[in-house]
Amino acid sequence: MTETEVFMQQVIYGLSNGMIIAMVALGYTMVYGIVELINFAHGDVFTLGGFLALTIVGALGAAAVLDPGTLGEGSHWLLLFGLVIGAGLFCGGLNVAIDRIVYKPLRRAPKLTQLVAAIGVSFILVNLALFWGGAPMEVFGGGNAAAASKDFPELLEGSNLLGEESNVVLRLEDLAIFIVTIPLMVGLTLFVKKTRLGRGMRATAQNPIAAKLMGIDTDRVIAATFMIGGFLGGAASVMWSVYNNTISFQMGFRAGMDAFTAAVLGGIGSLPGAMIGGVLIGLIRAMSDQYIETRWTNVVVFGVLILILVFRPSGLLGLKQREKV
Amino acid sequence: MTHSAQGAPLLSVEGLVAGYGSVEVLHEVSLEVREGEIVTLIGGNGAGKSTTLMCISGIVPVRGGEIRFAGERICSAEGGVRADRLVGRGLVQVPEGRRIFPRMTVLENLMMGAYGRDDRDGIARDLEQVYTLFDILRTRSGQLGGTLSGGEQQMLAIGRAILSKPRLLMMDEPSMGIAPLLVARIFEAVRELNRTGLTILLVEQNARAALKLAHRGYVLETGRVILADDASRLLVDPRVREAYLGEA
Amino acid sequence: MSIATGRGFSLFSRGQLAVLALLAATPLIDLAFPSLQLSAPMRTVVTSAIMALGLNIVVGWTGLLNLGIAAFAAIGAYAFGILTCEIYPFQVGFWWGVVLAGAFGAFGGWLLGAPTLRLRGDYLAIVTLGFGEIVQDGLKNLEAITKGTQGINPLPAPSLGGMPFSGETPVRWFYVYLAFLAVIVFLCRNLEFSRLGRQWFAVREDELAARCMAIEPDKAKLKAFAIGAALAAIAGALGASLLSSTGEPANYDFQVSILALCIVIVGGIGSITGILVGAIVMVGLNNVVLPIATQAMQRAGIGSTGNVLSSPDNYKYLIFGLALVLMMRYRPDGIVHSRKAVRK
Ligand SMILES: Nc1ncnc2c1ncn2[C@@H]1O[C@H](COP(=O)(O)OP(=O)(O)OP(=O)(O)O)[C@@H](O)[C@H]1O
Ligand SMILES: [Mg+2]
Repeated sequence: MTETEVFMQQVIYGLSNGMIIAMVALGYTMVYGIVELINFAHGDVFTLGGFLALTIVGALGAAAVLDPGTLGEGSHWLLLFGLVIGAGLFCGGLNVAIDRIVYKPLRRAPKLTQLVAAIGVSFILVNLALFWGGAPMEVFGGGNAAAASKDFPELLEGSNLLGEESNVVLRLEDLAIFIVTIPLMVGLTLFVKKTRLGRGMRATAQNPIAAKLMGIDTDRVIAATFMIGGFLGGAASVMWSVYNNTISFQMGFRAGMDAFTAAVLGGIGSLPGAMIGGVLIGLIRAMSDQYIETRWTNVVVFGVLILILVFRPSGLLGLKQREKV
Repeated sequence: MTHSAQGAPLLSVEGLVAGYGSVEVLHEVSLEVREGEIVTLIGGNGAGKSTTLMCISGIVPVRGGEIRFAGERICSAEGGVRADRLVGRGLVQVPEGRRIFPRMTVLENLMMGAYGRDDRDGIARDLEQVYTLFDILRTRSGQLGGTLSGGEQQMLAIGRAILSKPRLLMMDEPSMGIAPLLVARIFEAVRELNRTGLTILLVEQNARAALKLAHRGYVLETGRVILADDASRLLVDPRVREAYLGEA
Repeated sequence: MSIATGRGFSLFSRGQLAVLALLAATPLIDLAFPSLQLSAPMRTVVTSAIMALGLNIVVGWTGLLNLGIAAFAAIGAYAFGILTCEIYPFQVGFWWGVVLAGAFGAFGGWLLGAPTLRLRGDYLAIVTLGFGEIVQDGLKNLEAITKGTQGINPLPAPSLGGMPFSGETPVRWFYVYLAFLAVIVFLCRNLEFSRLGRQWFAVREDELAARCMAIEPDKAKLKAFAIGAALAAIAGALGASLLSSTGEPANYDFQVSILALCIVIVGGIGSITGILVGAIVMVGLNNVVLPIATQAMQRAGIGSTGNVLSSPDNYKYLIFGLALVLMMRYRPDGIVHSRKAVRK
């Protein structure tokens, strides 16, 4: 493999992971934009999405899923889209429920009170994922310890899309990530720009009282924001699981920190910022894995997070300061 | 000021009690605005004028008394119509400090006023009316709201409210922090709007200008209405002259 | 309740004295019920309380959320390890090891605080969380110095005038640690009512107003960070001595920081007595009640070992999480503190 090929391979890894990170980052940035809360539990909502996906795959029968003969070519894609939508709706609903039960009563409380509550929710969800992982199910490897990582079956198998001779590998999974995430991101952008609810979100984020005075039902807008953010996180978790072929009850912590870093990097509150930030973090991770050392990659990411917060807290695309009248 | 158009009460506030936390800010405030009127609410800093408007708009919860709009009870201690539903009924406020959306363009800001409306033709007509009233908004329609000058933001806030198709327009200190020439321009706009049949409740610190413009006025002091009368009579009332018009 | 009331000199408040006395009496419980084996968890109560007292200075008194306090415990533990372990040339002994660990902790706190303390509260919280992860990974990866996941060992136990302490003398050892705690409680109590303490409260309540009173918020915050970190580092050093090893870096992970936060919040933000109580409750739950319940259920044969739900140990996160959520919802000031507020 030549230097260029090594580099190209890392770009592919980076972009694929980056798109997933970006989807999770959107959930952080949207919620922060509207209620100024770091939704610490978001990463763990993501985790539960992965567990739901694995459970569905298991319920359909791991063997059937793994055997291309039973399902036929197109149905693998159908299953993937089904999982994306199912996990998306589940995570969205979960996110809304968390907001209703925990965050909403604390809306006027000091920010740190809300953040501590969010950390609490995160721990509760981690525990639920632990329980879920211990469920006596075939797909979870039967007697395996609850805390053990679970194998996620290879949903999309296929040869190198760049041809058998190419040293750089582009897998079907890489392609699938783009097929799933790009339309969702475009859709989100259009939704926020064009629809009434989307305009209500922007207005509520910029000035909630003025938004109410415009006749916007801000409670509904907030619920919708949690729903969409959760949906994107759920969709991301399916792609993550399919891509990495393994899930664990603690995977949301790292994924969440990567995504939060991405959101901050792009400028928290900004949708394009989260997308760009996600891709950048994906690339930074890939390059660090290759050119520094895998074991230092988390340090690199957290280093980026701290440096950005200290030197440019508004992020790359962020606004100087939140304008408050 | 002629008392031309005086119809049935459009808004009536009775014994309104409200506050923040453990502090009670309004102690049984009562006032009334009749169809077609310009009514002004004047008073010093912290008297509770903005709080009164926020109660009427359903933003600050009411602790006692009730508020009726177009004959229907909208707010009381037992609850009321949700804030976002009031706008659709024509109860519209231009809040203090303007509160425009800084990262939306002028046009987007104006269209937020029409958030709950579906009548495209009506919206287009009202937008044209706003542009006629404040020409500058037309030329700046693509500029971000946050980058407008203070006076321009005030015009934008009023224009945005007009696009909500108000029956009662409540304005909280539209003259605040604005050059005298522009204040005159804005007050002229208020008069024009009233001439087209719009009922207006105007909160002002600039008591003289407000009383000259209004039909009737209320004077609020530390959460209580201490005077209520025709504007022309308040203008010559010695207590008002001393406390609010800066005359001995 | 303070020294300043002129009620005469007293080392501790009544509440603090009561809890310290209660702790001092626990070896008796151990005598009566040897099967409980309380001495080990009780020493953990003490080290956790010291760490939480450090965190309290930052979170409770200065109003800054630090989510990486465990990193300072790690710094303390590893500093202690490197300075005392026989495989390194320093070998300064237990006492100097603890003191210097505290100094390294303070330096670490200063290093993290200096560039970051101006950040908004929630951003600062995330920065401290990131710092915690960096320290953990750093310790794991710098194997040449830290021995990676093996940890540095063996480490010295305390000794007094040639009288050694060891696993065979857990009671004596416990009292040494209790003495550490008592000294730190005393110091914290004096800090609370000192000029610096008042500066912290002022900064917490209103940074702008504090600035108007000629307080320099950044300096006050930095001191809180450094002192809090020093206490956490001392706790880390004591903990390492207890294990005779620094343990692996993962022993100082986010969970540990959250345990400390739970202690502060459940016990009562800002209240020293509350934190002592919080430490007993949380560590008791974590290190005594859950393991005992797990053993008991296993002995009784309830549930198969394969069933997650049947092992109380598996409810740890849930308990931490619920504690935080419920406290924020119903008693954001904590148990002790809010009772005081009601009485007023
Ligand atoms: N959100 C709030 N929280 C707590 N107290 C408030 C809040 N808003 C207003 N107040 C208090 O309520 C009182 C009345 O305030 P309000 O804004 O209604 O006065 P105002 O008459 O509009 O004054 P101004 O002319 O200065 O705008 C003041 O003492 C103010 O401090
Ligand atoms: Mg006001």
